[in-house]
Amino acid sequence: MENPPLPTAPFPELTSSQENDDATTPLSPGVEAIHHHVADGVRKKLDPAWITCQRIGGLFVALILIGSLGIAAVALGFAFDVLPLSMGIWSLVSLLLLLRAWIWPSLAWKHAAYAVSELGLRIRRGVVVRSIASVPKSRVQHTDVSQGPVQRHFGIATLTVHTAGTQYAAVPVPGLPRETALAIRNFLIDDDEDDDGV
Amino acid sequence: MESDRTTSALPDAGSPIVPDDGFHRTPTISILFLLLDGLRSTIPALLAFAVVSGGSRFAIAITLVFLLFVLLGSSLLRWISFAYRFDAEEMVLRTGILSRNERHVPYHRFQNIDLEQNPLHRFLKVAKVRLETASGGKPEAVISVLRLPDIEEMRARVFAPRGTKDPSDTESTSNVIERSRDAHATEEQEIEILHHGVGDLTLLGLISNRGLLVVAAAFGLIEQFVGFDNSEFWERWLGGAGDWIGRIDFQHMDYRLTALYATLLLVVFLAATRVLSIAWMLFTLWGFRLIRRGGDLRTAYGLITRITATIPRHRIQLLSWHESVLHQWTGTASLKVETAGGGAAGGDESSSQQMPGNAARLWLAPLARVAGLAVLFRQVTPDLGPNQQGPGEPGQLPWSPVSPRAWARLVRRNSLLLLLLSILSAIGLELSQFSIAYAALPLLLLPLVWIWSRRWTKRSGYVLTDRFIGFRSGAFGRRTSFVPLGKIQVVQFSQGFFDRRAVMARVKVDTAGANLSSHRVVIPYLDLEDARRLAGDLERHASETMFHW
Repeated sequence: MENPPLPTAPFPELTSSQENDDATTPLSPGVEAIHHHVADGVRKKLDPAWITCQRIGGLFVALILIGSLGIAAVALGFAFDVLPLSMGIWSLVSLLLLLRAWIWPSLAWKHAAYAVSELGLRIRRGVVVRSIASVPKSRVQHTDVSQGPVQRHFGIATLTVHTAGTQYAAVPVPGLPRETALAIRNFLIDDDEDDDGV
Repeated sequence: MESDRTTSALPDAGSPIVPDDGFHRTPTISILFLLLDGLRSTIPALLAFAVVSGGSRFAIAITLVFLLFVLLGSSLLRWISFAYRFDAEEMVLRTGILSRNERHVPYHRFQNIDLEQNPLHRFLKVAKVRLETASGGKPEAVISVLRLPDIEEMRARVFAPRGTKDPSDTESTSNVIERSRDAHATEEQEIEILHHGVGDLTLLGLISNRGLLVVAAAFGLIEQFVGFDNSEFWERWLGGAGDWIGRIDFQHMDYRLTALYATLLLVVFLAATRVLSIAWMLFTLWGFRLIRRGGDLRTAYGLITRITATIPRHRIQLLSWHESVLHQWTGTASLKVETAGGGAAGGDESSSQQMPGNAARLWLAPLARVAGLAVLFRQVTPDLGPNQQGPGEPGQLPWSPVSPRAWARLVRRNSLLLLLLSILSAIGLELSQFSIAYAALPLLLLPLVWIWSRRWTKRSGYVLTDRFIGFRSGAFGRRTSFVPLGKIQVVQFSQGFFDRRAVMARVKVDTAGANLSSHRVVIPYLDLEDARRLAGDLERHASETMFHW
């Protein structure tokens, strides 16, 4: 490439969980956040209340699954006269489901982060396959801020950014304090350029 | 409805349902085509019914008559309820009788216009029109059918230069047409970029694997309607061949003769599929032409059903070409583009059957000469192709390779897959009466895995310029995709478990209307530092450009 290298912010490594890696390094050193305080380019963690929300939701789903599996296990146990075995398997599966519902949200939280800069929005997520998706500000079509009943109780919201993309047609950013979600939304859709490219 | 359609600004007087506010109905002949469409979609169900009902003629006749009435009724209703109007800046589509729906679509939102003409259409000088916007999934409107002059008018409006719209003359819409027609006539002549004759299509048939699909389809049909156990049918049609095969003494044949017969059979099969392939290409792509008219590209092809697709150049989201080994031998490549319209139609077999031109990707050049690729690019996408400053040939772009360590990972992964295959077949063979030694056969492919992985690593890579990002991959054949930086929607940087272990990462670019199953800009096996820098560069470039559909 003949062009001079552009001032860019390389994407961060995803090798370790980011308890204390460069959490305050601006994403894009060349770009100054002047107009919008949310667009400071600093990587931020999700609200820890999100873990609790996820746990409540996960436990709810797990309990429904465990209940229906329990009925099936009892029925099969009686039908084939293997009640101790089926109950044993059921207990084991139940335990695993409960553990997953409890542990997974904190793992997910550990690896999740977001950052808003003048360039747009970066979302980091994933426990096994870890990824950062970057949505440039000019590619935001519209946004939703939504709150479920549990989320409402904890005062957090999910900001969903819609793009014209295919795989990333909707990019959710969960676990934001409601005011933050609204501020980011306002920043992302505040478009003073005369553009009809919607 | 027999009035001259070019004076279409005049309302249709005397029509009770379409009021005189400039709406038009499609020509009366539409009813016939709607009816035919309806018949075509119900015929399979009808056949199934005929089979199930056990062939009671009376029941079938009653059903048929009933069905015809229903279809005729629905066709009439659809014809009456559908109306359209051209305003200065938007097209208004009206549907529905009880709950009426009026859809306003600005002209500049249209992604592409496709026409379909079977012989009946052509005889009556009409065409089925498919209008696509970037709303994803279904097309904005499928109009069955419009007269050709009306279609020209629509095209002129939809793809008119943006300057022609003038807020002052919203009333006299005909002025705009006149003006845009003038503009088209003077500034924008048609330039033929590509034309495929019989020779090209024959070559294409030889290269492509369409014949196999035809054979597969034939097998499916036979299974469905005849059945392979229908000895009477086979006796009648293949009696001679059967006798001939029957005379061969398979029991006492030595292995050389077996090999000879097997080879012969293979050769015959290959030849037959190639012939079918050629026939397929001749039928579907007959008279393929790629034309540029101003900023619009138009492709037209098809022997029996003729497809005409129009794409504005600046609507191209992704350009992709494929060189198989056979392509490389003949110095050719096949070129396709993606637009934001109809992306979801790709996976939908039924819709692509209705409109073969409208698979998610549009043919731009089924058989481009690699030597002329640079010229073709310049015509097709001045923004995208290897640019003026850069070298002309795509092969001469400054490609960066994927990580040289990728091949070790590929070898490991593919060897493991082969080993797994061996183990599974060993289990299978153990359960059957064959010798377990055959399970080692997949392992014979190990050297091939080695070569494949080496070549893949060496021949795959990416290129980033100030205009586009490109990615190419393939060990023997090769696929190459380009995305203009302005069409990047989302940049993704990711690491799976093995990526992290190997200190590598993957960079992916998401575009509008992407067909997720075909080759895209998804660059795997990058050294971590490369990937971080590339993702950062892409993010920066994408943020700096405005996205226009």
